[in-house]
This record gives sequence, structure tokens and C-alpha cells, in this order.
Amino acid sequence: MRSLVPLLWAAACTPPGPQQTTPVPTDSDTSEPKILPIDTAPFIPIDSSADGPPDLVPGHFVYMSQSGVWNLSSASAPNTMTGSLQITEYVDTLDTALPEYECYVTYALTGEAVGNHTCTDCNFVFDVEFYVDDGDPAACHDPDAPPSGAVWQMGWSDPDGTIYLNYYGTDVWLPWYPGTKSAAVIDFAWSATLAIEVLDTGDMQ
Amino acid sequence: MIALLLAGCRPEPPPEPIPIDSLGVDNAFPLPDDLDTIDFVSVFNDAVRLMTTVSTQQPWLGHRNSIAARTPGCPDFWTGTVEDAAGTTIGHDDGVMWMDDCARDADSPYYDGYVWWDFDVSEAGDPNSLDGRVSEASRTLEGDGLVGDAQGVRFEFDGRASDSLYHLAADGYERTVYSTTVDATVTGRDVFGPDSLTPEGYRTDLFMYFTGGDVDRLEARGNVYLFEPQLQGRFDSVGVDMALQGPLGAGPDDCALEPVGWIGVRDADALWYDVVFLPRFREDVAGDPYPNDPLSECDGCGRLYVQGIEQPDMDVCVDFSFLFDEFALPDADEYVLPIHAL
Repeated sequence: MRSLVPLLWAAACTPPGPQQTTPVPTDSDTSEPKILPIDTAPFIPIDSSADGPPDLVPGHFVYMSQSGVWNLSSASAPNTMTGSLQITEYVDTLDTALPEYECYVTYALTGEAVGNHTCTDCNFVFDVEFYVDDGDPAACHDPDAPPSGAVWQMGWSDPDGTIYLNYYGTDVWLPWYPGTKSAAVIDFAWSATLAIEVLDTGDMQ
Repeated sequence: MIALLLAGCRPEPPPEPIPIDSLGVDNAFPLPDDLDTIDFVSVFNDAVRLMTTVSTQQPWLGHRNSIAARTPGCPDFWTGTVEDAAGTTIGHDDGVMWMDDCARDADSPYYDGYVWWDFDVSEAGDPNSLDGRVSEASRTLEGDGLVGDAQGVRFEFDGRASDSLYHLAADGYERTVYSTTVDATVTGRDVFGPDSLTPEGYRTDLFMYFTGGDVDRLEARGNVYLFEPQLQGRFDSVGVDMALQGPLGAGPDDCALEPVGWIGVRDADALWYDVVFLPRFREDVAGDPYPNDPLSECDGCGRLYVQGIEQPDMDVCVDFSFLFDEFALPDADEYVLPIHAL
């Protein structure tokens, strides 16, 4: 028993857990700590080009045209309107012999006069309903090509020679179609050109 | 015998802490000497106000103003997608984009890069009726474009911004829901006038979600980097992750005086100063019950942390009371920008 005491004492006094650890290296570097610099200066881009902008010229264009007519029930204070609208869009050139349109839509229009409206520049305002006679408005590049059955509030301004649109009921009246009024007929037309990228399909013409 | 054995087993005493000064190592990131003199209440009030101005409304304004200054043929407007010189597809099938590198003459604005946009808006109904008038609008800007002239940058936009608005106004009832995310760099005088809180612009990824009318609530999450110390001439960044329940619609357990979460500002020496309010999420609570009762009180005050180190006895009480009265909401009219208006 006596001989076991030192062994028991030594075993019992072994501290729990790891005693020997990997020596920690001493940092002998006394220089300033190396800290990545933080650039707090504002970045001001400088155009190093000596020439002016090259004015990039698109290779292809979509020609968009919208035209039509309003036939008014009377020249001064019309109660109703019937009419038509044609939307055409094509890329670059149109072969008149065999026209290939991106979008070709014809509409029949009907209008009911609106008495209570917010267009301060308008002589008269209609709720105009659009019926698609032919074509698919969804194929048009103009996202505002009216779908069939749409009812838009549109008004005519004599001084401006313009058909205004109450854009989706926002009471923001945008000049939509320039037009000319002759007695009870308003002819209108609008066109725009957008650049477009035409993918090379590899087809040989 | 056992007692004898245990008595001889005293553990080694813990080492004495070594004062950092005795190591001969300089503290590379000391706290600022004037920490006690900084008016943190004023700083964080301004930071909250600044944060609420960072929305899609600003780049959209710059976009509208910059294209209003265009000259014929500069810039070109595009439909559909385009593959740029790096082979990246930009634009979308919907919407419209300007893309160019042009200037008509030295006196005209120059346009370099592209900005694509799309929007959707509708309003209908009578605000004096029980059904009310409903306004719904959304819009998106994407781009890497620069518009400028001889006086400097008019509008710079690099990134993406979008927002959506729902507003119902009826007889005796009103509700507004607005959300905005700007993940972009925005600068230029077409956006930021001299009276702006950020006349030099910013780079941000800030998201905000606001409801008002029947229930007031604001959530904000993200960062705003100001390029220069535009906040009180000292701080160049704001970071935030918070949600605030306003007085309207607050439940009995809601705190309308202070948000859950935190808001921080960074000075030009890259030191962050954060005010930490109530725990943002359940997992933010380290123990149960929340072990820091004084800081979990609904009193409008949070604890200041500098570089993540708590500053004892430095509570900052931020005024959020203006938020739900003065938060700038867009009007649905502002979303309208069709081809016909170009």
C-alpha cells in the first residue's frame, strides 16, 4: 500500500485536459503592422480618349407607325365616335411587293363622350374602345399597343392639334397622336424609330 | 487518504492578464480621441433621414431628367436585347433602353453606356367611394450609363433599381404599401441638387419596405456608401438592418419608439459606430430570457458599439417619430414614361 501512494498521488494530480500545447511562435517583427490601405478617395472616372464619342450607329431599326381616323358624330360637341387604327412595325426596309411586318394590327374604334374628365386642354374626351380586326398587338415592339377590348380615355385638343391619352387612368394626359381636324373628321398619325439587334440566323438569302 | 490526495490537487491559478501596453505593440485601431464629443444623437438622426431618401425615386428622377436633355439621335433608343462587346446580354424583350456613346456637339450632353427601363401603372376608382381609388405602379431601371456635359456629370447609374407602389384611398380608409431596392451607384446633378443630403451621390444595396395609412411599418436593410464624408462631414457610410412598427396599427407588444435591429455609420477612418436596439430576430437573443434587460426596454434608445465593442453607458436615443409622416412616397404618375412621351 505504501508503495502505491506515490503512484496514486501522481495519477490523481494529473490536470484534466491537454497540458502540452504547440508552442506559440513569437512575433519578432517589430515594424508597423501591415494593414491593407483603404482607399477613401472618391473615384472619378477620366475619359482618356482624345477623340469625341464615336456615336455608335445601330445596324438595324424598327420603324413603328400608327395612324387612323376618328369620325365624330358632330364637329363641335360630339357624343360618339367611330374610327379605325392601324399599327405597323417593320425592320429596316419593307418589301412593298411582299411586306414582312414585325407587327401589323388593325383596329375598329368606338367612342362614347365623357363629360367628367380631367383633361384641361381637351375640347372633348371619349372612352375609346379598341377592337382588333386583324393581327396580334402582343407582337408589336410598342408596349402600349392596345390589346383587344381595351378602353382608353382619349381627348382631342384643337389648339394643340393633338389627341391626348389619360395614361391608364392616372390622369396623366400624354400627347399621344398628332392630328388634323376637318369638320367632323380627325386624322392622326404617329411614328417612331427604335434601334434593334437582329440576330444572324445564318440563313442564306 | 483520499482527502490527502485531493488536497494536493489544487489547480494552477489562472494567469494574470497582461496589459496590452506592456507588450510594446501599438494599437492600430484606437478609438477616436473625441469619442465623447461626437453628438451621436444628431449623427444617427441624420443617418436615418439620409437612409429614407435612398430609393428608386432618385435614379428614376435622374433618368427622366437626363433623357429629357437628349438631342436628336443622341442617344439611340433600343427595343429588345442587345449583346454588348463583352458578350453580355443587356436589355430585355419588354421595356425600352437607351444605348450609345455620343454627343451632338460640345454644348450638348454626352451619353455613354446604356440604361434600360420598364414600368407598369394603373389607377382606377373613386377615392370618395367605399371601394375607393386604387393605384398600382412598378418600375425597374437597369444600366451602366453616364450622362454629362461641360458642367460635369448629370446622371450616372450603374446597377439595378426597382420599386412598387400600392395605394388605396377610400372614404374613411387609406393604405399604402411601397417597397424599393436600389443595388447601384447613383450620382449626378440631375438627381442630387445642392440641397440634397447626398449631393455627391452614393453606392448602395438598400432595401426598404414601407406601409402606411392603416398600419405604419418600415423595414430597411442594406448599406449606403457615400464616397465622401457627406454625413456631418465625418461619416461616409450608413449600414442598417432594422424594422420599426409605427404608432398606427401597433399591437400591445409592439414598440413604436424604437426599431428592432441596428443602424450604423462609418467614419472616413473606417471606424464603424453602431447603435443596437431591440433584438432583430429571435436568434439574436443569446439567452432566454434576454440577458440584457436594460437594453431591451422600449425607450427609443440603443447601445453604442464602436468597431463592434460595446461602449458602456453610451446609449443613443434616436428620433424616429418623423418617419411615418415624412417618408417620401412616389405618386403613381411619376412612373409613366412610355415611348410616346420620348
